[in-house]
Amino acid sequence: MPFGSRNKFARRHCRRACEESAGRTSSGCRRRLRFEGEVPLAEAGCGRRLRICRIAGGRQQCARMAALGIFPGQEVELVCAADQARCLVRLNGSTVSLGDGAAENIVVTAA
Amino acid sequence: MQPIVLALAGNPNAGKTTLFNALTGARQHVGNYPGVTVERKEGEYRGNGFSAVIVDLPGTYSLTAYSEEEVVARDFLALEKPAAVINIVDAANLERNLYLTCQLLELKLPIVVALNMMDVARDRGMTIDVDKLATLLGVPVVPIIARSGQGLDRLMQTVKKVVEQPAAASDPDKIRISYGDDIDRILLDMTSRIREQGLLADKYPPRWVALKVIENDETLLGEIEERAPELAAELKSEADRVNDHLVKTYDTYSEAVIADHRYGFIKGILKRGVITHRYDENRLYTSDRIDKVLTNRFAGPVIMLGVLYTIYYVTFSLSALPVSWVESFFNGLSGLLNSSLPDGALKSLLISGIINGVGGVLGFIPLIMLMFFCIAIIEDSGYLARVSFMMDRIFRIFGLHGSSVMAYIVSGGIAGGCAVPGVMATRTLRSPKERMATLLTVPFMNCGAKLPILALLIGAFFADHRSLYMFGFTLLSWVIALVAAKILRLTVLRGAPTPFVMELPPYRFPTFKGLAIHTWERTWQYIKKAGTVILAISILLWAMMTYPGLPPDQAARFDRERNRIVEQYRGEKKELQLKMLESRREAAALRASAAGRLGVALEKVTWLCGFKWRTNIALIGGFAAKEVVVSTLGTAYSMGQVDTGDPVSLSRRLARDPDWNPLVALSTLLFMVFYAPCFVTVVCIARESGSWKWAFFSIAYSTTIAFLLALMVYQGGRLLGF
Repeated sequence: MPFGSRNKFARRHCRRACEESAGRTSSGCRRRLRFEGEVPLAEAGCGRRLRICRIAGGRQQCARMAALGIFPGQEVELVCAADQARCLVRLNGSTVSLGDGAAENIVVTAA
Repeated sequence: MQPIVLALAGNPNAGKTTLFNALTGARQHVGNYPGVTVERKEGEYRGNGFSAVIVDLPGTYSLTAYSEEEVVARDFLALEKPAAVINIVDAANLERNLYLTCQLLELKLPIVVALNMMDVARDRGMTIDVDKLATLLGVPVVPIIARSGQGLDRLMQTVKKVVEQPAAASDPDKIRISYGDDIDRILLDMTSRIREQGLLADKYPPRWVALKVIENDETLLGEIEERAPELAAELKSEADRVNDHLVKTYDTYSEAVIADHRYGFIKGILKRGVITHRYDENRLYTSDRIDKVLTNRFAGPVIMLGVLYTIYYVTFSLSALPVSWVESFFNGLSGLLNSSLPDGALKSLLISGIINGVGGVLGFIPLIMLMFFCIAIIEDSGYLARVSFMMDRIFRIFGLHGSSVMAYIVSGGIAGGCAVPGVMATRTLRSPKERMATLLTVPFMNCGAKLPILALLIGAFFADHRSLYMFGFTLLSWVIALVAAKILRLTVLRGAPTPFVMELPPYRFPTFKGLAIHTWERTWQYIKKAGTVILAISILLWAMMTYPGLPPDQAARFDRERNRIVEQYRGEKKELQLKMLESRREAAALRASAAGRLGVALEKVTWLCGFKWRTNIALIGGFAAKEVVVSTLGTAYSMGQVDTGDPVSLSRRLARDPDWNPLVALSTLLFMVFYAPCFVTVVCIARESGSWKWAFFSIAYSTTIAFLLALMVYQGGRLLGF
C-alpha cells in the first residue's frame, strides 16, 4: 500500500518545500529547478537536496529502508550516477544505492 | 570458571572485523563490502589484566529480524547475554550508526561504544565531543582507530570496568525514546501486560518485546505465539490497530514512524554540540565524485569490463613464469624418485598418486595467489560494492537481486573463488526465492578449484589466446548461471522481485597488510585443501586406478609376449620393444582397475561428448573436489609411463595424446565447469536451503545442463568438421 501525501511527517516537510519550489520557479529560477511538486526519485535531477514525501511498496521493504534512514520526511541528496532508474543518494553521511524498483517507489520533492 | 564473553556489534563496514583482528590477533577476512561477516566468529583477548572471548557478530543496521544476519546477532545477544557489548560506531557516519546503538540500549545490555575511524571523521572536518556523547547516551564512549590500533587499550580498560561493575559504568535506563503519542500509549499498555505474564522475560526486556511487536517483527511474533498464543493474538491485534490508525491518519506504517523517532532522537543528541562540522556538511566527498564516473550509466559498465579483463591479463601474464618453475620443481622431484626408488607399488604411489596428484594442484599456486591479490584489491577498495550495484539491473532481468552478485563473485565470478563461502554469502538476500535461485546457480561460477583444469586444458590446446579463453569461460559461466536462474525463477521458484537497497562503503586505499592477509588466507586454504582432502582423494583414486590389476589370463598373455621379445630381439631394439610392451601392459592394467572399469562403463554415454574413460575417472573424482580432476588426469596419464624416465608435463602429454584434440578439450571444459557441484558445496546447499531435496536437485539439474552443453558443442563441432 502506498504512503499517501497525508503522511504527517511528509506533509509537514513536503508542502512547504513544494510551495517554495513553485515560488522560486515563478521568480525566474527555472533553470535550476527541473521539476515542480512531487516526482519519483528516479526522475529527480542530480546533485540536489530532496525530501522524501512517501514510499510505496510492501511493509517489510519499507521497514528495511526505514532502518537505513529512508523514510518520509527525511532529506536526501541525489548523487546521480548510473541511469535514471537506479540512484545513489547521500543521507546521514553515508551513500546508499537504490535499484530500479526501489528508486521508482520513492516520491520526493525539492527540499 | 566460565570465560567472560564480549560481543562485537555494529553496522556493516563500521570496522568490526578490523577491531576483532586487532583485539584477538586473529586474521579474519576483512572486506570493504557490507556483509563480510555472515556467521559469528570467536577469538580470545588477553591484556589489560583480563582475558575474554570476543564474538564478532554479523554487521546489522537494526535488531529487527529482516534478514538472517540480524537474527544471528539478536539471538546471540538475547540468549548468551554477553558480559558487555562493544558497539563499534563509524565516527564519520554517526547518525546512521547510532541507530543500532539506540536499539542495543533498549535491549538494556551493558554497552561500550567504540567510536571508530576518528581519523576519517577528522579528515572530513568533523569534530566530535566524545564526553558529551557519552553523557547524552549514558554509556562510556571511547575513540579509537581500529586500523592503526589507536585507543584499543583504553577501550579494553573501559570494557573491563563495565564487566566488573555494570551498574556503575553504564546506565542504559537513562535512555527512553518517545515514539509519539499513538505508539507510546499502546507501548505502555503492552509493556505492562508482557511484564505481568513474564513473556520472554528470560530473553528480552518487556518494553523491547512490545516495541518489536509494534514493528511487526515476524520472527519474534512467531516466538510469542509458541509461548502464549492468546496473548500473542491480543498483542498482534493491538499492534495492527495502531498500524491501521497510522496508515489511515498519516498514511505510514508503524515501523517508519518508529524509525523517524529514533533518528529524531539521534539528531537531537548530535545537535546538542556533540558534532561540529568545519566544512559544509553536505558537500560531496571524494567517494561520491569517483562514483559519478565509475557508476556512470555509460562509462560504468565499460570500466567494469575493463577492470575484470585486466585482472585476467595481469594474472595470466605474470604467473606464467612462476608456474613453470613450480612445474619443473615437481618434474625434477618425480625424476629423482624415479631414478632412486625400486619399481613397485610404493614408487607408483609416490609418483603417480601423490606428486602428480597433489603437485598438479600445488603447481597453480602462483596463479591463484595473483588472482586472489587482484580480487583483494577491488574488494578492499570498495569497488566490488559498486559492481553489485551496477549489476543489479542485469540481475533483475534474470530474477535475481544485486546482492546475488557478491555470492557469485565469492564463488568465482571473477575466477578463483569458492562456492562454499559463496553459498553462505546468499544469506544477505532477503527474499527466500531469490536466495534459493542464487544458491542453486552459484556453483556454476569458476571457483579456484576449476582454475587449474581451465588453465591446464586452455594452456594445452588454446595457448595462443589464454586470457581470452579464460575470460570467455568466465563470461559463459555467468550467462549459463543467469539463464538457469531465470528458468528457475519462472518455474519452481516463481515470485515477485525485491528492490535493491544497499549502502555503498566509501572508497578506501587498500593497505598492503590487508591485501597480504587476504591473499595469504585464501591461498593457504587452497594449499591446506591440497594437503588434506586432495591428498586423501588422490591416494584413494590412485588405489582405485591400481587395483585389482590385470586379470590372470591377460597377465599371462603379457608375460608370454615379454618372453617372446626377450628371445627374438637383441640390444637396443629389445629395450624399445620391452618399453612399448610395458606401457601397453600398464594401460591395460589401468583399464582393468576398479576406476578404469567404471570409466569404461561410462564411455557408453560419454562418447557422445567425446570423453574417454580416463576423463570419466577424473570427472567422477571431481565430484569429491574439483581440483581432483587435474590430479586424477595427472595420475591416469602418468600411469604406464613410470618407466620412461622422461617426465613430461601433463599439458604436453595431453596435447600429444590421440584421445585429445581442441574439440574434446572444449567439450570437457564445458562439462567440468557446469556439472554437479563438489561434495562440500552440496552439503552446504543442503544446510543453507534446509533440505536435501534441493541439494539433490542441484546435482541433477547442473549435471544435465553440463551434459547437454558438452553434447551440443562436441557433436556440433564434429558436424562442422573439427
